[in-house]
This record gives sequence, structure tokens and C-alpha cells, in this order.
Amino acid sequence: MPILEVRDLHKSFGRNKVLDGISFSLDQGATLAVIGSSGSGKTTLLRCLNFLEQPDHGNILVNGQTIFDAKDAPMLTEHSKRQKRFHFGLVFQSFNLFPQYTVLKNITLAVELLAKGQAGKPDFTGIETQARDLLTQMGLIDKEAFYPYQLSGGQQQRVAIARALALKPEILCFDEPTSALDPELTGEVLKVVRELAQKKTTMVIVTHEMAFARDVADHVLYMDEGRIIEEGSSEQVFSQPAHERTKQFLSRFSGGSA
Amino acid sequence: MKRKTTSLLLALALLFLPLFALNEESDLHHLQAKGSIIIGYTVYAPMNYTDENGVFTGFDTELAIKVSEVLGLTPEFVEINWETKEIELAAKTIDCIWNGLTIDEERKANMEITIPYVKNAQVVVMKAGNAYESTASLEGKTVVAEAGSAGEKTVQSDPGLQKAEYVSKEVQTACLMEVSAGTADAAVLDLTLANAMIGEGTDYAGLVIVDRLAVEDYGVAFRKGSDAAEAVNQAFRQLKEEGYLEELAEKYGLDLAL
Amino acid sequence: MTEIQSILLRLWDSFGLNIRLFGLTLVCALPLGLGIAFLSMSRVKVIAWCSKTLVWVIRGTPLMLQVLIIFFAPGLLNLGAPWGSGASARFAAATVAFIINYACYFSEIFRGGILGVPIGQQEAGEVLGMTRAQIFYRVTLLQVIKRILPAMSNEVITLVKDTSLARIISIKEIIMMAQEYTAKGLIWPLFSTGLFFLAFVGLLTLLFNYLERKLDYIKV
Repeated sequence: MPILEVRDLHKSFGRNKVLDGISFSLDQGATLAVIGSSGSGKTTLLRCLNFLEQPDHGNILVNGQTIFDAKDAPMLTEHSKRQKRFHFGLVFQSFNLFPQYTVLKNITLAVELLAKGQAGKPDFTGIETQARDLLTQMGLIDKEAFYPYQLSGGQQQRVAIARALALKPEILCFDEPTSALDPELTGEVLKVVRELAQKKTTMVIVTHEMAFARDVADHVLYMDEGRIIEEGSSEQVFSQPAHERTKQFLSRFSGGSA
Repeated sequence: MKRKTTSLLLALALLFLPLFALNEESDLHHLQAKGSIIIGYTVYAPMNYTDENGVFTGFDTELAIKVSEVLGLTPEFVEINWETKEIELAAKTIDCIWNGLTIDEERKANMEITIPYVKNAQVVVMKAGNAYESTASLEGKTVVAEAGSAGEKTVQSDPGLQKAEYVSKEVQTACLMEVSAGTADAAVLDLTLANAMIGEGTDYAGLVIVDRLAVEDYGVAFRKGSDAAEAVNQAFRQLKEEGYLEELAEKYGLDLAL
Repeated sequence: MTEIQSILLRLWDSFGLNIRLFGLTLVCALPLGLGIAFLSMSRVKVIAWCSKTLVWVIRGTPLMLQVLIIFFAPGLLNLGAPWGSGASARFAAATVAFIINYACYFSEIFRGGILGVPIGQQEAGEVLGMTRAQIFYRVTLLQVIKRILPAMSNEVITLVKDTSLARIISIKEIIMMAQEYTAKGLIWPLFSTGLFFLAFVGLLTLLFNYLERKLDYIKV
């Protein structure tokens, strides 16, 4: 049984149809890369998974359980939305770290708030230990007392990844994680994502880094105008694309293979 | 500033004008029912002021206490702004204005005013050593008076003063400051006030009274239609017979009007 | 005690009224202003419209007129005396007028501050499973405060000086007290009141500078 199943997702902003029947599934421990030109609906798809947008139609299932059904959406309470969100984590293109907190606090804040909301005495030392483990994993253990503005973009994005991981999501989503970075800083972020893939973290990555997608993803979706045009293993989509549009899209990136 | 305030007050008064005449029950009964009379005053020697020993006194203060006693009411003194006195009265935040109020036709039309109890005059005050002969000497000069005061009316009606440059002030005492500072050439204000404020031992030692203009009477103002004014008239007559008024006028150097 | 000392002492006493009016207004108008800011940003159109109309009316009319109306209107309309009588009644009326007026000014500053925080901050809180209240108090609020501090300090300093407007309903604050001396022929007390205001505003300026330094580590 796949860990994530998306069935016939539709989403419009006014007259503008952004998602036009998206269906796919993802296995536990697999990495899915979503590629496509700007405006193809990739980011909206991620935002729907994370309840930042509400699809007009369709279902989302995690581990076979329906966590979202557009038919029931109007009845969705703030609380149940929050519960369902915990299946997913999201790393933003622009990091969105909290500027008033240190690196460590950025990672622990949400976990601490969650622990406070539950019965019993929360174990804050455990939370900090976990955060430091994550920082070590990100290669940033010496930066825990820094504020975000004191870090480079690449470092900030790695903190953002640690922050998302701290809540132990079942599926971690990335929204163009390197698009806001200077070219020389993308490497350190991609390296971290690659390591996560090796550890069999289930991930959905929206990216423009074709070489990276080809290298890391088990599975690739090519989207255009709100639809999935082509879907398959990374090898299949990149080496033998079946559709003309996919070929055209990939040819624009052919020069940039790494 | 002054002009703005006046127009504001005018607008406010117009807004509520139709409501002024609504209350037709006896004002005297109203006062007797609550057992007190709220007396609106401004600090104005020799009528209402605090002496060197910190005792609140003055001709009007003593007289008001005495009249209240005759009427069987407890006097309650409230310091007000001269420019909002009519609103205070109409809004019942005070019951009468007892503060050397000059009786004129306009006021008689809008408020219920007692018989005159003290005589006063409007005087012209200038720096010592001036070349004043008559009000015509002030042509083209700057003359100040308190806005809405009897002094202002004198300036506007005297043929000589009409040709002067008129500037209105918020309080009578500010007029003396102008003359003293040389920003105005002459001030028109109450004789009683001028007597108390200029001369030796004050900051206005260099000012002198050069002319006496309109002779006028002081009265106590109640709400339009109030029967309390007549009750005060009777108290005045009684106190006159008892010789109390003579004594009090002598103490403060004032001329009685009855 | 010399006469000068005793006059300064009385002025200082009456300045207590200015400070009390200032303090009460600040303490009540800040939370009320935040509430009005939220109403103005409400997704329910009617609520937002009502709130914005209130802000328009209050910001569009002089504070002096509002003080007059709040104190005198009940009596003029024969609605009784909600403020009671005596000096405390006048002070209560002025305080209410000041709170409403300043809450409306503050609400617009808050609204600008809240809208100025990037939406990404809110979304980051959401995807981390934080509640709306947690996002506001733990993420947005401090960034809002940081953003609005300069505008706030301006408004707060204006408030100090506006307190002397309360004399329109005969609250014996420092300037009205000084005018009593002017009425006796003494001019200097009136001008000396400026020093009281200057000193108090000086203290506030130091406080705001301190706060700005304190929040310097937040780069928004």
C-alpha cells in the first residue's frame, strides 16, 4: 500500500484552473521529483498537500486513510486540519525562518508548543537534544545560538529542513528549495537532501534542478498546465520521455546537466 | 486655535439646540430635590480665587455660599472653561454661572439671568508712558480682548476701537501678557480684574488703566426658563436689607448694583 | 518653602493628572487598538466595514470635539449623568474619549504592522502545526512590534502633549493650573509647563531607544 495517494485533485483561483485532475501515488521511503515550467501547478500541488490551499475537488490519502476529501472540506475544523497537517512537512523556497529566534529555538519551537498542548510534563531537554542531533546532521551544530540573519542562505535553508524534520513528518515536501539561493550555495542544500533520500525519507520535491532530480528521485512527475503529462521512474522520464512536451521541456535544460 | 474652538462649540451647540428647551419642570425643585447647587466659575480675582493661605474665597465665592445658605442648598464649586460655560449649563454639569458674568441682551436671550448685583466697566489697559487720548488713538494699533467677553463686544462696538487691529484671546489674563510683551498695544478687559492684576507686586507692574468704557452689570446665569434665578433675586434683596451685601462689597472694593 | 517652589510643586501635582490620563489611555488603547485592527481585517465584510467607519470618524474629527461630546452629550440629550459629578466624572469622560481616539490611531498602526509581516511567516507556523493564537503570539507579534516601534513612539509622544486638551472640560491639568497663575498676574508658570512635558517626553524617548536597541537582533 502506498504511503501517499492523491486522487483527481482540482484547484482553481477564480477562472484560472491551476490543478486539473492530479492523481498519483508514492511508496514509503521513495523520493518523488515534480518538474515542470513555472505556472504548471507544482507549487499549488505541494500547498494542497500541506493544507495551505484547499482543493476544490479530489481526495488525499495517507496510509490508506482519507485525510482530505473536498466533499467534506467545508466542515473541516481548524483543529482537525492541524492534526492532519502533521503527516506532512514543508520546506519553503524562501526558508521562512523566524527572525526573532535562534537557530535552536527555530527548530524546537513548534515541538515544544505541541508538547505543551499534551497531557503530562513536557520533556524539553529531549526536544533540545533531538534538535542538536538534527543540526549535527545538517552540519550546523556550531550555529545553534545564531540568529537567522547571521547565516548564509544555504545555512538558513538547512535550518529550515531541520525545523521541518523535528516534527517527524511522514512525508517531507520541498518547494524549490534552492531557487532563492546563489548558485554556489545550492550544493550544500542538495547534499543534505541527498542524504535524506539515502536514509529512505519519503519526500516530494518540486525542483528546477534537473540533474539533481534525475540523480536523487526514484520517481518523476512532469506537470504542465495543471496536468501530469508524464510520469515514471527517473531513468524513464529523463532518458526516454514518451511525450513531445516533456522532450521540449527537458531539452531546455540539456545544457545544464551536472 | 481660538477660532477653531469657537466654531467647534458652535457646531456642537447647533447640533443639540433643539433639545435645550425640552425640560420644563421647575429647576428650583430639581435643585431642592438633590439638595445642592453646582456653581460654575473660573479663577478670577477678586470674584473667585484662592488666597495666600490656600483658602478658596472671593466676592462671588462668599456671596454664592451665603445665597445657597438662604436657599437651603449645599454649594458645590466647579471650575469651568469660560468658553464652554453655556454648554456646561445646558448639559447640567453645572447649575449656574456665578463668576462676574456681564449681563447683555444676547445672554439674556439665551440664559435666565438674575438682577444685577455688581457694577463693572470695561477698561483699556496699556503700558505706562503711552500717548493715549481717546479710543481713536488706537487706530491701526493691535488691541486684544477675551473671545466672547464683554471686552470683545466693547472693541467691536466702539467707533475708535473698530479701527484698531483686533486679536481675540482665550482668557482675559492672556490679554495682559500680550500688552506686557509688546505683541499688542492695548487690552480691553474687566475693571475688577484689571484692578486686581496690574500694578505693584505683579508681573504687570508696568501696565496702567487709561480709559473706562462701557459700564456694565454683573449677574448670575441659570438655564433658560429656570425659576432658580428669581429665588436668587429674592435672596439678593434680603441680603441687601440685612446689610450683608454692603459689607461684602466694601471688603472687595466693588460697586453694588442694587 | 519659597513661592517658586510651592508653585512648581502645585504644577507638578497637576501634571500628575496628565501622567495618569496618559498612562490609562496607553494601557487601555493598546489592546483595544489591536482588537479594532483585527476587526478591520475581518473576513466578514460587515464587521470590517463597521470597524473602518469607526476609525474614519474618530480619526476624522478633532480629539477636542470628541472630549466635548463624550462629556456633554448625555446631559444635552437629557440622558441623565452617566459620568456622575465632580472632578472624577470629568476625568473619567476624558479618559474614555482619549482611549477611543488613540485606540483608533493605534489600530491603523497595528494593521499596517501586521500586514507588513510576510505571509510566509504565517504559513511556516501553519505547516509546523501551530494554532492561530500560537502563530500570532509566538511568531507574528514580536515582528509586528519591531516594525511599528518608530510609528508608535511618535504617537505615544503626541499623546503626552494631547493630555493637556483635557482642560476643555475643565480638568485641572498642568496648563489649566498654570493659567490660574496667569490670572493672578504671574506669567512664568505657564511657560515652565513646557519643561515638565520636555522631561517626560525625554524619558519616553530614552525608553523607546532602549526598546529599539533591545529588538535590534530581529532583522525583518
